[in-house]
Amino acid sequence: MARILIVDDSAVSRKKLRAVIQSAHHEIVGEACGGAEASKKYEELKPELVTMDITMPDIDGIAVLKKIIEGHPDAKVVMITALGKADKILEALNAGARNYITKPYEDDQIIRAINEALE
Amino acid sequence: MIETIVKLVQVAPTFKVTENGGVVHNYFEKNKEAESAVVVDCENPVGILMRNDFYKKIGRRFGYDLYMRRDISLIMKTDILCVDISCDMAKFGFITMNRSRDSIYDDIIVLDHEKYLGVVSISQYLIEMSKTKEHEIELLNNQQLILRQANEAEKLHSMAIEQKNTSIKNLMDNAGQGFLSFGSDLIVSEEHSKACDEIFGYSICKKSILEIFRGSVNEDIIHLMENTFENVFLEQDKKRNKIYLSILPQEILINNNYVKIEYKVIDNRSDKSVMLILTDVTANRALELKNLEEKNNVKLIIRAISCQTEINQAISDLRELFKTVVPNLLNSVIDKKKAIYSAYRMIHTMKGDISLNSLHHTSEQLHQLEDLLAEIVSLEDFKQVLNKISCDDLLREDMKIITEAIGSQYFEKQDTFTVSKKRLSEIQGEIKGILSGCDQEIILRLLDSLLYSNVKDIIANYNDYTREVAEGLGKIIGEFKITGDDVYINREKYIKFTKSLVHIFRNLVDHGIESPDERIGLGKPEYGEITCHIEKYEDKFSLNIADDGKGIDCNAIRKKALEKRLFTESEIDNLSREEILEIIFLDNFSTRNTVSMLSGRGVGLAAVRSELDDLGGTIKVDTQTGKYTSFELIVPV
Repeated sequence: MARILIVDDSAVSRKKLRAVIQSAHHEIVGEACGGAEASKKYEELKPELVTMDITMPDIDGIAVLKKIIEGHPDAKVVMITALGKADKILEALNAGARNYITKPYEDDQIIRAINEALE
Repeated sequence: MIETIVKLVQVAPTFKVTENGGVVHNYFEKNKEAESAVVVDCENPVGILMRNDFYKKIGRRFGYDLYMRRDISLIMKTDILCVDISCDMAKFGFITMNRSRDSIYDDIIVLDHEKYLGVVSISQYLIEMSKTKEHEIELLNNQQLILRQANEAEKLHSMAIEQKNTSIKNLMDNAGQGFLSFGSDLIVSEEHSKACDEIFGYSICKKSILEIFRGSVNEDIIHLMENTFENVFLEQDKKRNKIYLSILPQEILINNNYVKIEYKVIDNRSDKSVMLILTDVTANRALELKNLEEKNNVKLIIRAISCQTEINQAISDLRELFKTVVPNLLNSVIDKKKAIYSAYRMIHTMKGDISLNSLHHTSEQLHQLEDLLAEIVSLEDFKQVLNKISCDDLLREDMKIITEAIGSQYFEKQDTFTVSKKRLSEIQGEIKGILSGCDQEIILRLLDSLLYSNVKDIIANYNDYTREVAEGLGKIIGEFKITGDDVYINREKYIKFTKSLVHIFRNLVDHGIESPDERIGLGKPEYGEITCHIEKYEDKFSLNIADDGKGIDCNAIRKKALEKRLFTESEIDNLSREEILEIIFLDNFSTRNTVSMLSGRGVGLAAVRSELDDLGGTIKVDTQTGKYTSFELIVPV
């Protein structure tokens, strides 16, 4: 069981992720609906893993990832992005993301990506 | 380690230069094995006396007299060779072998820090040297043997490797899959399977993997590949490598063939490479598409059968949209941008409606149209594209499928149409071939529902008939009152039963319902009333058909049964009321004396019971004089 922070600007996505992640017996310690809030919550909650949407209106998920990794090189961040954004995924992986999930996602895909990142 | 002469040094006696030859002679006589004697002056060696040389000289004429009593300096050899104890064997050999021919075999004097130490005999040296050589040669021979053996093993080994490579290559070539690998330079190695060349259409050997893919994917993907491979070659973590490679396209259209691509990292301590496994999946793809097409066609036919109104509505809406709605909108004076957006949204909504109605070819074409329109910004271009749209073209394929399956009258007649049973069973057969599991079950059940009827509808069909019967008898009945559950039964299977219901209605009208005058006199409504109530149970349904007539006269039944000799008097006396009422269902029983067109043939209610018997059902009658007669039918489903 890991303590997880969900970062996504879509309430529907957050709800879906929460349900799936909890079904895999992980604990959701918090949710953030934007980049700025994500950085704040990360420092505050110190989660074991973060699921990070790449496209967010205020601060791009990759920028948040970079900021988190800068302060915590061992942070485990799993990126979430629309299908066909391979260049963004590569950028995120190079910036230190542990894994990625493409939307639209299947439940087991989310769980697999998270568990792989936690290993 | 360099070998010195130290182990060859022998002790040889020294004699002062002033000693006479006799002394040396005595020494040689006493020490038969001694070969030499060293002559010193103040402890420095100045000459040497070799046994052979000494006696050669003594043995000459006058030699004995000349040397035996005189100083040995006269007889000693003075061209002595002195070497230091640290001299190595090789250098020693070189020095000694370069001496003059007559002194070549003389012993060599060895000094240690300038002081006399002993002598080295040349013969000893040679023996030692040959011993060493012999050992070296032996070693050399052994080494050569090992080398030879190693060489042979190596040969066998490379043969085995070559064999292995050949068989792997054969395997790879015959697997029909493309196997290729490359290192950090991204150049494809020679060891790739034949299928690779076939897939790409040329020999890919020694070419850059990026160049090979450049013709099949866009520059963004090439760039992505380049960056990803670079990361893979830098990254040590196997898991991360897998994640990196998962970004890359899993399927690429190469020379009009769908090629599935698997990426694997081969990590042999010394060199890392990436292997690509290419599989031509075009055939699978085509099959998938064909299956999908067939599935969609079946869906369309089912939709057409079950929702004719909706389909015709959707088709007419589509025609209307392109003929008037959108052109009017685009020609209106509103903001051009808004007009384009509204038209686009309308087409999008239309696509949804069309696809809801399973008109999948039309929907696909609308989808393509949408893609095309999405790129357009100018109103003129937008109009131009739409002007070219023909609704007949859009609908052609789907309408053809419906026409072929159901008939051309489908689009003419509204609301009802006919499908032959044969065609229906053909369609069912097709579905069984295409769909499986849950899908098949749902769709077959849906089609089956076409063969099923609601019991309420079946009963309602008797309305007109029963009224006519009543009128013929001078009676009036109102519309059936049908209440209760909706129960669907297979028309084919229950046809005999449902047809037999005619006897019940006839019976009620004929025997139950009174004439209007009688009814008025009894204070009943002029119209006789027939009520039907259906209740659904798990594996059966009940059908209650009742009138509000005069009821059944049990005495009349008794009398008739005795007349017809169906029972003896004593038998009849023992029957309960229920049992007497049951007599009406017996063959050959009819309470009427005359055989009317309607009843009296003695088959009526017996026929109903017989049909119910066949289905495993039951029929019961309940009645109250002057009030009602009620038939309760239990029908298994």
